[in-house]
Amino acid sequence: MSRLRLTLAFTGVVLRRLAHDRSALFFMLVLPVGVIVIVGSTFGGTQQVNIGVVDRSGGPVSGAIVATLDRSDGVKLRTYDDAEELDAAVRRRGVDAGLVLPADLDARIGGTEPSTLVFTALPDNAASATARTVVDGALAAVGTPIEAATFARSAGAGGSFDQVLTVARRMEGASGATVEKVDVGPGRKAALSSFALTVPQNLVLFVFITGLASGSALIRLRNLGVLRRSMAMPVSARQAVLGVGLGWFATSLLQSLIIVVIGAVVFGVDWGDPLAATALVLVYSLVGAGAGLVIGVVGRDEDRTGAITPIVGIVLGALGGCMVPLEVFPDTMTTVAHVVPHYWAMVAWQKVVFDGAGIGSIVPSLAVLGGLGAVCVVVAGASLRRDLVGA
Amino acid sequence: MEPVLTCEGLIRRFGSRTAVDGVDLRVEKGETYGLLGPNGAGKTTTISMVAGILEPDAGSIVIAGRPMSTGPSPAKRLVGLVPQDIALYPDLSAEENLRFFGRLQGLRGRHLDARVHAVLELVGLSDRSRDRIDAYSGGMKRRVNIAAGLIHEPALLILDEPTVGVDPQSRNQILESIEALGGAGLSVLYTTHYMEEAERLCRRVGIIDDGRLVAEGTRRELVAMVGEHDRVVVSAEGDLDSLARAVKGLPGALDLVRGPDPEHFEVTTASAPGLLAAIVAAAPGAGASVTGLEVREPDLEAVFLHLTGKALRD
Repeated sequence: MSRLRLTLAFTGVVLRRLAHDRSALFFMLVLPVGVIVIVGSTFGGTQQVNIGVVDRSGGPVSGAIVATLDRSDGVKLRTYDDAEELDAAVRRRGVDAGLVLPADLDARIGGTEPSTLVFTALPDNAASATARTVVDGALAAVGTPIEAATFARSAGAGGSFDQVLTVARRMEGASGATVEKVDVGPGRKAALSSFALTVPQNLVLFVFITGLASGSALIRLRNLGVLRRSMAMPVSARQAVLGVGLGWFATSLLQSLIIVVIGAVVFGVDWGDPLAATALVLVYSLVGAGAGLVIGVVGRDEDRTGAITPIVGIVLGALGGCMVPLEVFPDTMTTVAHVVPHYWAMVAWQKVVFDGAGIGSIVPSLAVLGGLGAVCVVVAGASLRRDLVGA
Repeated sequence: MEPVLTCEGLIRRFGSRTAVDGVDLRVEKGETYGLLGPNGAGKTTTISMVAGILEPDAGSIVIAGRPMSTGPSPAKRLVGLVPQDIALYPDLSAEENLRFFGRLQGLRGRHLDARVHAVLELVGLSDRSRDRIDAYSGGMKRRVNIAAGLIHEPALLILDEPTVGVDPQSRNQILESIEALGGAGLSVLYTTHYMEEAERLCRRVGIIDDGRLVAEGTRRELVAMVGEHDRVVVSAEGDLDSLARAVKGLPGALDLVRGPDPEHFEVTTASAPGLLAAIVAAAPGAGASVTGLEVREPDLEAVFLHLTGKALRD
């Protein structure tokens, strides 16, 4: 029998026990996804504003306003036949705000009497403020040349209003000041999901908590004497330790993969460069498994350990940027955060997910995390081996 | 014929304490050998070394001609260990546990299937094989614990106090299983502090105390060491010290031992009937009154008491 097969016998039993353990599956799968949904929905917000429009004019100016709105980033435009229907949609939150373009809008262009546009919104809808900003922007874009032409005509400029307006539109943007739109994430091709921050945060948080929690399971195994019994069989302590460690690593990896897949498929998270993301998932799974093994060989009381480790995991996670973005940390806290693995993982995930960075940009984080994971595994393995052979 | 187990000069220390001090053991093929001693005598340490879990500080262990060590020694394939604690995965079924331990012993495929089926049949748990261990009674767990030690058909089965904390019915089932295994030619090393179990199961018994093997032999040989004498257990009230001195001086009283219970003492005698009346007659003069007399035939308990000066359950 190969040594690998013996090692994998230990790994297999760790995974089989996990499959039997409903509470472990809850903490490993259901709880992280639930937290991601709640936190993402609460703080991620929606990046799309729905605006309803009734165009009673149907002229070129009203058409330009509608077109400008439609071209605006993050705006989804819906057209309605009448104002009553639009008001109902606003009340039912079918749209965040409504805009009614009056029938006399085009007819009054160039005249002295202003035309009145009606903006409709619910007072308690935060997205309506965004919609108002978008509408104001569209009106300014379309209205500025008209105002300029009106001013020129009133100041005695020659030619018809339409001729002056054409000149005004031609002059638009010739002020010498332009605003250039710059994409700060040149590697990004898709828009960021509103869950782009919370899913990596919870991945980092829960993989570590699950790792720590697996420590109490190892304490139980030690107390039961199952591993020690296996030493009466033709198996080396190294194979047992490696097999159990692999099982823990596979557990962390499985949880990571589940969160990554759910994050991508359900929450639309773009995990960035696949190589960088894979490397990060692997080294962080090693950290989770290593932390669990250390707890498992250091601890004596499985119940006490099981009660304490989730709290420790949450505190360390908060310290490492899993609750709030690292950017809002004061300088002192940022410095302190360097001592927890979560910090290094979050820094790397932010680079990969938000900045479109490749594996080369996260080498420092990978080195720190990989080193920490390796140290944990080696120290715990040596201790467990001593425990098993009674040396 | 080559013995299944040969231990010579086994020594194991834990710090300044010597848990096993120069133990020699020899178990023949098909023999059930009992290691009898009180808690803390060194039984578990001895069998941990025999099973290759614990490295001896000195001495040698040979299983059917192969030296035992704590590494992945081939000798370990010849040994099945049944630890005193239920060393099973409680959240897995009996079948899953047996498959795990079978794989560690190198079993695979149909052979593994057949062995799992056979040992479950042997311990009478075929119909509950897919139940989780933590859903079993204490006795059923003990039986699976034994099955795990038999999964690979070892040449030597080591049982470390397998009936501790077991209800009488399960205990009897376990003892019957071990008798059947012994009858089928399996060599068994059986540790216990229950004298009656050793007497029932074992052809030869080694008596261990304070890490030393103080005597070894068949029941008859061991009992002969105390001279085939009866023991009279005297229960009395009043001045027991004075009564004990008076009884010790009676004709026919060979030896007297005071146990931990202040209301009893034991007298060894060649003729119990003659001594009983004399004890009752001597009591008033010694300021005591006899409340009970019990005659016990010589057994391993008496041997242990004779050799160590203390009872097995002390």
